[in-house]
Amino acid sequence: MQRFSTRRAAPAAALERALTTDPARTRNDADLVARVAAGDDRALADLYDRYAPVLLGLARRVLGDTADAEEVLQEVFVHAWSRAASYDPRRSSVATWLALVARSRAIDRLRSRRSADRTVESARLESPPGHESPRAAGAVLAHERGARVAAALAELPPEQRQAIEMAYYGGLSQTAIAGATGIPLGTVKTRTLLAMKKLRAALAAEIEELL
Amino acid sequence: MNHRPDREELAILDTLEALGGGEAAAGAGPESRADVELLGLLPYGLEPVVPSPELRSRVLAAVREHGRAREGVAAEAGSAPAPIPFRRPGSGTAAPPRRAGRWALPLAAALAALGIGLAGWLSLRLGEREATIAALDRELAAAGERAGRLERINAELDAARRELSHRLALATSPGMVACPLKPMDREYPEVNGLLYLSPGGGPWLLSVHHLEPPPAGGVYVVWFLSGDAPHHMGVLAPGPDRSVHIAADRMPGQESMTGVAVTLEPTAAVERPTGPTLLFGDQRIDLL
Repeated sequence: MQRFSTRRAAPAAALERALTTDPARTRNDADLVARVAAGDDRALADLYDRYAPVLLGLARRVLGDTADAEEVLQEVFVHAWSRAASYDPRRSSVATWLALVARSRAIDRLRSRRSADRTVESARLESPPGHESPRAAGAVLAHERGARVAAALAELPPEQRQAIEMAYYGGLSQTAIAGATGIPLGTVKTRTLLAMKKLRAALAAEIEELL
Repeated sequence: MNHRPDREELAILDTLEALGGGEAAAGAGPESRADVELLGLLPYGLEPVVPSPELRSRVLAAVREHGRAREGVAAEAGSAPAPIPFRRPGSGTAAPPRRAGRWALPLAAALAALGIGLAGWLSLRLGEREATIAALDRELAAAGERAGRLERINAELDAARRELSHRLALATSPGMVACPLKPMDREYPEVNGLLYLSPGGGPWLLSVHHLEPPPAGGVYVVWFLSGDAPHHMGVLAPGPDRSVHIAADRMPGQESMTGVAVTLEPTAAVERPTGPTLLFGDQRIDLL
């Protein structure tokens, strides 16, 4: 698998900007957000160019639908535009802030959809389409951040990775995961905890860059 | 796997469970901050999806529109602007909310079906009402015809009753006088008649038989004669049996009658006899 193979004829530079680890990026991101808070829409366009591919991939992973994911992407950047002034760099990096906003909006949309069709959702959680497993570590080594995250996820035992994915991409609580899988709640918590510890250890360098 | 988490582990689980609006908890320690950043890194393990240039244009246009709305609203009220609806490719207007779109079509179809059904039911009821009104109209017309026939029959019966009453009065009158009328015209040789009179100017009855219908442009007129002053007493119209009767309650106001005649006149509106005399009765009667 090509590390940055895309479904569109996307310019490679866009993905390059999105995924390349830049030591100065964190500071630059904070500056961009400050400019956005001041009403600079060109700064917002720069943020979009940096993070839209990852955020759109995240929303599509949660929702399984490109049209809905694009709506979420718009909501994320309208949120960033209107709430930039309240962004606090002590709480999270800009990348994490945007990712968690995107996840939150996608999960909200997913939950409203679940209330209409739980059957489809349960089937999707049992066998997530395509994106449920991170890319094989050997296939995605072009850029540090994406490659290391993918590698760290690939190193997890399948049951731990499933627990993380159901919580993160499915928006399910530990209790809901236990109910959905039939696994005892304590086991679910243990698997989740082990997965988080392993990921934190494997991605310590990336996390350090963001702090 | 029966492991009891310690405080740090509980913090990790809480961080994962408490992912809300993308904001990490204020005042979180370094460990929690690291967990938050870890969660922010997870999407990088997915295949990224590069948005199309059209999507980029739409999103940035929506942001600019939101900015203008924010400035406008802030200038007016200082409150936050309404969210900008997402515009899908190819649509000139804002896409409707998914939930509204999902229900709008079935709701519209249900309302349309209900409207059609109601219209059909009302049309059926209207047709039934119109048929009922038409039937009632026919019954009313038939009843009107029956009433007309009954009125005519009643009039005929009333006339017959009056004639019988006259005849009875004449028949029971102790001084009743019968005055025969003789034919006077050779063209009507068979015609004859009889006048019944009550003394004192009471009821009278004239019966004429074998009287042919009058020729075209002529009528038969009855005259009571008193000296040279004739009294127009009415018109005779013979029936199919060539007989006719004419009666009245009182004789005309005169002292005596010297005769009775039936003449053929060009019209009923004549004051004196002008035509040929068909019948004549020579009978003097004191009426007072």
